[in-house]
Amino acid sequence: MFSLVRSAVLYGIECRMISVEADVSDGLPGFAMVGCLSSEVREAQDRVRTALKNSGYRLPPKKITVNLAPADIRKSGSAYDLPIAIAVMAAHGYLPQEALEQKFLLGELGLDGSIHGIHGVLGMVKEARKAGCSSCIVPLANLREGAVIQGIRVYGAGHLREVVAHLISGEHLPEESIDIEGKISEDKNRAKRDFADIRGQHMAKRAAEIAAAGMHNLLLSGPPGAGKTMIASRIPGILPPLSVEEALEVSQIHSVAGTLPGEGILTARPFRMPHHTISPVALAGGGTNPRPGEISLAHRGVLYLDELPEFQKDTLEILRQPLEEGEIRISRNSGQYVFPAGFMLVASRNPCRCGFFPDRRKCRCSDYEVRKYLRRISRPLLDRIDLHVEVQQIPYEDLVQGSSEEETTTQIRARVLRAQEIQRERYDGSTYRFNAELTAADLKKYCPIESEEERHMKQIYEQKHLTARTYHRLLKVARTIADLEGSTQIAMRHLDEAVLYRPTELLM
Amino acid sequence: MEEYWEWLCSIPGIYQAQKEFLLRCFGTPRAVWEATEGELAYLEERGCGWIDKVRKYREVSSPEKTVHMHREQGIQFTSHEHTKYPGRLQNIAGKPYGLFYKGRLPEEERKSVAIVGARMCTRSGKERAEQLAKRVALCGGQVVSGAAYGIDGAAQWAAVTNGGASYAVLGCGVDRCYPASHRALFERLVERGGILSEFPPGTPPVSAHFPVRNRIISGLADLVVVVEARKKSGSLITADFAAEQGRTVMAVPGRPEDELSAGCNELISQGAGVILSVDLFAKSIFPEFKKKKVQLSDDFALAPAEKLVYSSLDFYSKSIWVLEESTALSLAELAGSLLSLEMKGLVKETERNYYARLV
Repeated sequence: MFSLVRSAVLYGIECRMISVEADVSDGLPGFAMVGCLSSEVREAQDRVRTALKNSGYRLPPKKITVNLAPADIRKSGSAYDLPIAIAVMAAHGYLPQEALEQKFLLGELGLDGSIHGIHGVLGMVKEARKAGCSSCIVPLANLREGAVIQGIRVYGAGHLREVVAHLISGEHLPEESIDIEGKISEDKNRAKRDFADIRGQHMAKRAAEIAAAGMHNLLLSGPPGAGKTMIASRIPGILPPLSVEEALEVSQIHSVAGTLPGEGILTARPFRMPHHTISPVALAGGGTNPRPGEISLAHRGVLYLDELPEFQKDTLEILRQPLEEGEIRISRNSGQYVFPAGFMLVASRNPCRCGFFPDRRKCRCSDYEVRKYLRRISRPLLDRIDLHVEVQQIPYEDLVQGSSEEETTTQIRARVLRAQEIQRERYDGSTYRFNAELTAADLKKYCPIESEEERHMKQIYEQKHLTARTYHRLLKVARTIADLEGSTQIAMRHLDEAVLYRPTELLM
Repeated sequence: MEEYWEWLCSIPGIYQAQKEFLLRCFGTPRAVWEATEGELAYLEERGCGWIDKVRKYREVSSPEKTVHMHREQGIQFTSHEHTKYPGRLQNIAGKPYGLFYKGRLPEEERKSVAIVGARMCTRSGKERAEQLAKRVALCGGQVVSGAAYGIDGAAQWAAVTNGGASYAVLGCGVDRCYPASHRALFERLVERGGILSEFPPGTPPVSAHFPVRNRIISGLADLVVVVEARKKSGSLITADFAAEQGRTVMAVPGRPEDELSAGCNELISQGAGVILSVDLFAKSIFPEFKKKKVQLSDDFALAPAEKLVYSSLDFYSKSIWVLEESTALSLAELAGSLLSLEMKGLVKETERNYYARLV
């Protein structure tokens, strides 16, 4: 007898629907599995057989054939145990085929018939809804994740017997409903990390605000222990909240990587802080069955690279293309995968080996040593970072006297939101969303400056020995500073301030 | 006679001791040029293997040809017998028989100060060297040094950019630019002073040449200032030469635990002069020179904010955060004021977001 169950396979972060077909026929008893399977899927036959036996279902000694179609997509992962088990049972007549119509199944089986959690449920359920399935059964551990998708009924099951009972007689299975918008506005993380915790450092804080407003990348340099990480970790808090679509998009990536929190959906912008020993593949994504890397996990959030010069050179160079395009394409012989990677890069470094340059009272590094240290980061990468700012050691008085007038995250965020609103209006109908994305060709159109400011800019250009590249960055940053102020024109003071954050170049 | 001296000094691979030997044997450079093969062979047999270098060079280049070639490259020459030869060098031990140079030779009547120090110096050492050199330049003196990385280069840059004259003594030929990244400095030096070497054009920078040329640096100076030096360093060799030649030696003191100041402190303990401040230093060596009180003329017409910023700046660099605190201006205002002060030439950004007064 033939039976068919629907399931899905992960393809990068996207999913494809597959059919799990089972057939039982006379002949030598055996269990054959076909359909371009990787070894963990092939192992499913032993898990399924044992799980069925331990759940109290006896399989007669017949020839069982299982096919996962279409046969040209490689299947990997452990999500097919449950669909295979159900298909085999249906083929044996334990279940009527009608009970499986429009059903979508996912789950890994234990030998006792219990159902374990898997990765990538969110995207698969979304795919199932698109394919017109009416309900899905997912592992209980992934129920919240699946329930995020509206317009399809999602049940969580903990044991094979529960699934069978549900399919035959409509036995009750747990369901969840999740209020995404409510969760997003709840903002638990934001309250935990507030900008008001940071004493002094207003230049660095101001740079963080400008960076967030125009989605510029930011480089913090300063001595160890000055608070670089503290500032960076508070940047997601001043970015605008995720929209529902963005939350779903980000959650889907995290679902595949298995890094979703217990609520089943990410409601705060991600803040990823990989250690500097990270390998190129872990950063960019990849592997035989490509998984998203840190840059994709930071999508729509902040990727913070602490101690930038300590990262391997090869690892850092990977960032160049995603920083330009907002996504990364990974080609493997199994196919080409595109992972979103639209993150804001925040990096930190010490200004020299001892960390105190250019404070000459403390820094004892020679110029040569300083230059050698700074050269570890390649020019093309530095060129993609608009704002460079120094974080200085805070004096003792600032540290102990809790000054009350430190601005809170909420206050800063209000200004950032307004500046982003202005940008949304300005770029309405164009491909841009933020100032940071402007190309040199469109600068004239979106960042016009009056003749007096033009003269001033020329003086700056000559005085500070700017390059064409730094000039463009400076103009973009000035645009964001003007937006923060609500000014339509870029004025002298905006240009002057932008000079403070210009990319580092060693002076003669 | 000059061309024979130039020819003798141009023989590659022949150093001071060998030249001295040749002159003892033959009397004059002309006699060396005119020496018979038999005479040369006689010397060669008696253990002077290097005579072959003389023979080879004699084959490829005559005195006329040597002179012509060097002039074409813009390289001048003076022998110790010529009146152009720096008088300061006449009385030093092991004075070079001739000097190749580009640009000019140091002037006799101007005060001449050698500023030397470590190549791997600290930023503060560099700043000190710049200030000292600048003051020497402004007081009408000339700065002699080795055009190396670090202190040497910084001092010479400061001298030539402040309208002074500066002379570099090299450990390679004057047609070579070493270190290569100092090309711009070399060009300025040729314009505003000179590049000197006892080694013939084309000589590569070999490490053994540098200690030897230090005797010329100290010899050309009336006063040798050591800014930063380790215990065993070229700068101390220069100071030793200076002491032998009867020049005054001064050193910038440093903290005892500082490796880069160990050499300077040692010099001071041996009796070298201490540089306590740029003003005191200038007063001691240029007593006749009165420091002009810098009066900001009305042309500058500083805005109130600019005046405030200017008054809280110093000749040593201050960071923008320190300024922010002392002036209580907003970052944008402060940045604007500093920019316009910089454009008026009153202030310099010494390092990213670090500023110092120029006048």
